[in-house]
Amino acid sequence: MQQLPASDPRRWDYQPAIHRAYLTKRPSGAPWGTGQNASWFFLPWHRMYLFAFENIVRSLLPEAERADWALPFWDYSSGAPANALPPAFRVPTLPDAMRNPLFVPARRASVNSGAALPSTVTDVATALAETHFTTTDLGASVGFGGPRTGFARHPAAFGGIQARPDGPVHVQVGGAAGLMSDPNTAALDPICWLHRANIDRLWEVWNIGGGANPTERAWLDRPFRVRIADGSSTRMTARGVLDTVTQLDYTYESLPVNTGVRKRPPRAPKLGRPLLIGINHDPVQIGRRGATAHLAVTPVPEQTTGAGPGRLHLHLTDIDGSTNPGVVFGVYLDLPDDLLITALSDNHSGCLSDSSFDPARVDRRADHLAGVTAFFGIQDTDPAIAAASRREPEGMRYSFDITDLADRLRARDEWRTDALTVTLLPVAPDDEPESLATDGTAPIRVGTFSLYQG
Amino acid sequence: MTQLSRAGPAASNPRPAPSGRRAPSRLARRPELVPVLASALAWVVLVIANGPIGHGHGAEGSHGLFTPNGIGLTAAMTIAMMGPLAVAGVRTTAFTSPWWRAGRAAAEFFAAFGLTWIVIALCLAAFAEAWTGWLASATAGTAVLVAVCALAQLDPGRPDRMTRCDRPMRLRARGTEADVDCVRFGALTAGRDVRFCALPMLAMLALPGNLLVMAFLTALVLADRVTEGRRRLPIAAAYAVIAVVLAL
Repeated sequence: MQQLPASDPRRWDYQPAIHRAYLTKRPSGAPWGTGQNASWFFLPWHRMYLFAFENIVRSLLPEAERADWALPFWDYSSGAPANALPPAFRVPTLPDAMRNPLFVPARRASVNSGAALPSTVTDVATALAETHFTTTDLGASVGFGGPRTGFARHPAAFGGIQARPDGPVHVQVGGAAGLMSDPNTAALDPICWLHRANIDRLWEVWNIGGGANPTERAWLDRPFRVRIADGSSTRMTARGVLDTVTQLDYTYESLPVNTGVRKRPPRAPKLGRPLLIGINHDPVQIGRRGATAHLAVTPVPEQTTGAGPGRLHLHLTDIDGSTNPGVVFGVYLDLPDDLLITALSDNHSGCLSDSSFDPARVDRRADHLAGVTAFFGIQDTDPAIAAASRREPEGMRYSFDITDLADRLRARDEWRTDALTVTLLPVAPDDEPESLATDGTAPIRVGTFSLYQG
Repeated sequence: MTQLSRAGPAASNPRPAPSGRRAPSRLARRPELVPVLASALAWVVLVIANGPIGHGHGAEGSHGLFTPNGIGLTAAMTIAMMGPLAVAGVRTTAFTSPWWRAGRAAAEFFAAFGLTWIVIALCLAAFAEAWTGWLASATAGTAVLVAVCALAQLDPGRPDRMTRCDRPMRLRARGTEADVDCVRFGALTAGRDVRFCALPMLAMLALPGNLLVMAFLTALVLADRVTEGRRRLPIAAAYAVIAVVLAL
């Protein structure tokens, strides 16, 4: 694919442009820039994208090998050794001394060296625990697949599967300057396709575990144009890709057994539309070392609900920035003073001290962890970058269900009813080269930290 | 970095809701009631003023635009047509404001949205009066404008530009600055709608008092927004049919 001529729509660099139109010269009729993110179309569109890619690759194989070849998936959540970049992608040269096309220097150096991805980055339990594919309420969980987009839309938000592990894996593999850290160039890194295949597999796992896909026609029948193996384009819909076996002729190894049990709603009752009970006053600038936001909280009086405090969700919205620092941040609530101060101290180079990541401190911080955020796609929020691509800047929103965490903190008398401190800290030591490991990159701005009850 | 005191038992004096509020208002949970009820009220006013079908005294010719009655009717027509389009912004404003001021935030947004559109509508009405006067026929003038609405639907860039209409804005949470932000957001949202709604509104104002035409135009404007420009051809056809009926 990398050696195909520029005019061939099956060539390697044509595929990422389908997701984001990063190449300036767009062939007539090319379905470029049609990638769906932060939307309930994220999963079905990427399934179509993967299906087309797989068939393009298969079409270029010798005839005898086509029937047995399928795109592999990178199951980084299954522990060592799978939580490190597969060896085939790490060696710069092949045994015959030719350049390895699967190796890309533009990745985090430690990942190319075989370092394992942190478990907080690869965790899939939170996403798989989502009970709904999508929701429409601002202030509630966004759902497994992403928010319903359309009239009366709220800011674009990442669904559970995109918030973690999709975005964090992108950023952890790419680092500050890697291809994977930017949605415009991620698919130029061959590992991206195995990562996306795993995301697609996790959709299957969620369905098998009782998760139900939307039934609205607006989701099922929205058409997308996809380039197929012969270079022509075809229209596909979510309805046409729901059953991978009968409709797309593929399945995944070692899927869980379908017990037919549907997912149940979360423990605490839903009280109606969530209401905003806590918010910060000023925007917060987030550099490589993280930052802290302080929220003033005014809970809805319990006696008016009659059913207890309901669920709590933390949202990060009004997010913008021009560069991803290549850091995956943990989002921590009410960190104790000693962990807070220790983690934000620095040595002469401006990097987080390694003592911040000794196991005891990591374990204690984990008790306050609400989720992770990688700000994957932050470039799309910058008006100047968006204008250069002739499109509107996009919004970004993260949502965290903190009900269970709040219960645990409340049980330990570590939860306050009138205030909340939210701290973003890197989940792993800073292992980038010193030229990148400074706070010289433009910070990311988070305008609003909001706490919802409902 | 401010030092945090170690959290103890839940505060014995939790901070009370400001202004003595004890429970979220109905508007805090159902903010869309504001534009929906306002729009419904506006339609009632128009029916009373013009009759059920609407071929009342305003059907042709000037209805005294800059008289109190004229301004009032123009305002009612504006709220009736544009009220439903404020639902998205009202919901976003309410749900991104603290619960104890969510109803007020929704009302501030809608007031600014409505007032901005009334000002725009008065300007459009003045142009409509001149336009129909030049053509010497309000019906013919309206037919031409509706035909232009049909052509405007054929712009392939319309769906992308329409996504700008409901872009949210960061709203501060307390005090006068929160009120200012809600008002700004309402006015800004109204301004963004002009590109897509000015033409149908102009057509409506060119034939004031014809509630049937107004109802069709309102329905098409709403359909256009709800479908986010993805049903341009059917909506264009509907505009074309209205233009032909008016012309015949």
